[in-house]
Amino acid sequence: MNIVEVENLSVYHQDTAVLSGASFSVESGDYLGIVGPNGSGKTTLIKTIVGIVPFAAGNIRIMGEELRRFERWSSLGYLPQKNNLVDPRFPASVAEIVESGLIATRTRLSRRARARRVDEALSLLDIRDLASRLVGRLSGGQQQRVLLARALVNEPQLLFLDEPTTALDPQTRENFYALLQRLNRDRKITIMFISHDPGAIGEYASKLLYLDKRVIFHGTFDDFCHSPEMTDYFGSATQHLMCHRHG
Amino acid sequence: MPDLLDALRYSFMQRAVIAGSFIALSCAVLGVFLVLKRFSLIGDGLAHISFATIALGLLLKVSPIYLSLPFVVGASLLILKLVEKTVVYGDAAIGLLSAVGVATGVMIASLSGGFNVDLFSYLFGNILAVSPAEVFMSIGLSAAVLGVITVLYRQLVAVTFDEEYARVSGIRTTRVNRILLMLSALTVVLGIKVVGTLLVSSLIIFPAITALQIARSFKTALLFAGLCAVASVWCGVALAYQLNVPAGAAIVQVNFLFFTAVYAGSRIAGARSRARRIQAGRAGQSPGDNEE
Repeated sequence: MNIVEVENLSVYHQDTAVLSGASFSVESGDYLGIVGPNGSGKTTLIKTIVGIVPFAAGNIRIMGEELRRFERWSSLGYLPQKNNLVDPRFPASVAEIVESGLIATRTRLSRRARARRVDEALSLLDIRDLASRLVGRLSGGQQQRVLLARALVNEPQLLFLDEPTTALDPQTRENFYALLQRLNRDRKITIMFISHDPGAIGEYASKLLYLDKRVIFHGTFDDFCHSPEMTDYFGSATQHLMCHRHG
Repeated sequence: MPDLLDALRYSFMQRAVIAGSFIALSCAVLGVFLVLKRFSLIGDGLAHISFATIALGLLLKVSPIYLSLPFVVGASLLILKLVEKTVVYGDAAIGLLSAVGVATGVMIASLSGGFNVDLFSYLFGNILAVSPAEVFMSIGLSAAVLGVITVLYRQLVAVTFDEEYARVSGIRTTRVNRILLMLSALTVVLGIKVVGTLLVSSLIIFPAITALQIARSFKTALLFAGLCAVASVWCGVALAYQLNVPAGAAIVQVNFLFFTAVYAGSRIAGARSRARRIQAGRAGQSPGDNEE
């Protein structure tokens, strides 16, 4: 079953095309790695799918519903690209920030149920001991985990991640990837994941979407690794790096 | 102190403390959201815009407060529209309408025969001259403002922390921002009576930044800001009565004093805490710091 369908999507920023005629679909349970050079429209694509950026032409369906009629926001988790750390003066505790993710749920949760959901999300990310700390006083890696806990607190079916590992040290990054793999495998969460790290995409993702203002490639790693066209496009070194790690 | 308690027997003092407390509380609670959204100067801008409507009210012999309410609310929406459409930056939009407001006010005052005592009282406020009707209006509007904030609390926190994420959560962020600015416009107009157009932004900014020095959560920030605002009105009115100085200016000075004291206190507490951690580290104990 397709959980996301994008048809002939075009997005403009002022008069410049950021994405042109992009079409692809994501099946339930996929772990889709999205790669492409700077300015290729990766972040714009994710932001358009989640309704932050308007699109000029095309169609987006999430869980079978057209985006403009989509209401099941609690089924989505979103970890935005993070260029700056949270303002250290922002007076919100980690628990408050994670709980703010529950706002998407339309069902009224009791205080106890909310606390339980927050506690579960914090435990999943191994940051329970930070619950009462001010989020702005944490390190970049800890903040990233708090924001992922916020994205997971609704137990989403579909998770969008925009370069989530930029603030992480290598060990935390590996742990993070392993966690995403567990979420995808054990909880059947569909993941759409933007990364500048082709090696990581090759190692963890099940499918690949390569963008350069349009869809250059969309498919499985087997198709990608055996495509002479892609070897021409990427060069054999990059293709090898991704395919080797995937294997 | 007995003199002050004695003064509270006067009805004008009671009205000043009651109206001032409610207005300051609304300003402080809204101020926490506005300061964190980098929109703290909106109070200043809207107050300058109200300068024009106050001058117009005095010219037309209509209550300046009633005339200001719709105009200032409209101006707040216009500022938001300019920012949303990325026509101009937020601070430039505030500066633009603020300058037009003051220029219009000066022209109207000039056409009406120059500045007079009434206009002066709106520039610097006159809380001791609050009428019984204005007390009821202050209580009603402040209750409305606090009620809306209570109902929209989670949406407001989400939008203040991360507007994009709030949109992905299905929150109508534009509507929440509009409501926040409209509430700000209402409180600014009410605040003019307390401290005047020139100082009303202090009621929004000071309690918020004071609370942000020590708050450990969003709710405690709102609580501290509210307490600080109400205490500043009481102390300010008391100071004004004792020293025979304008109450609006005294309230602002007390606010500044609170901020300085809390800032210094939090710095000293922070330095002591760091010193204890270093000492504990030297003694080979775990510093208990979770930061990576």
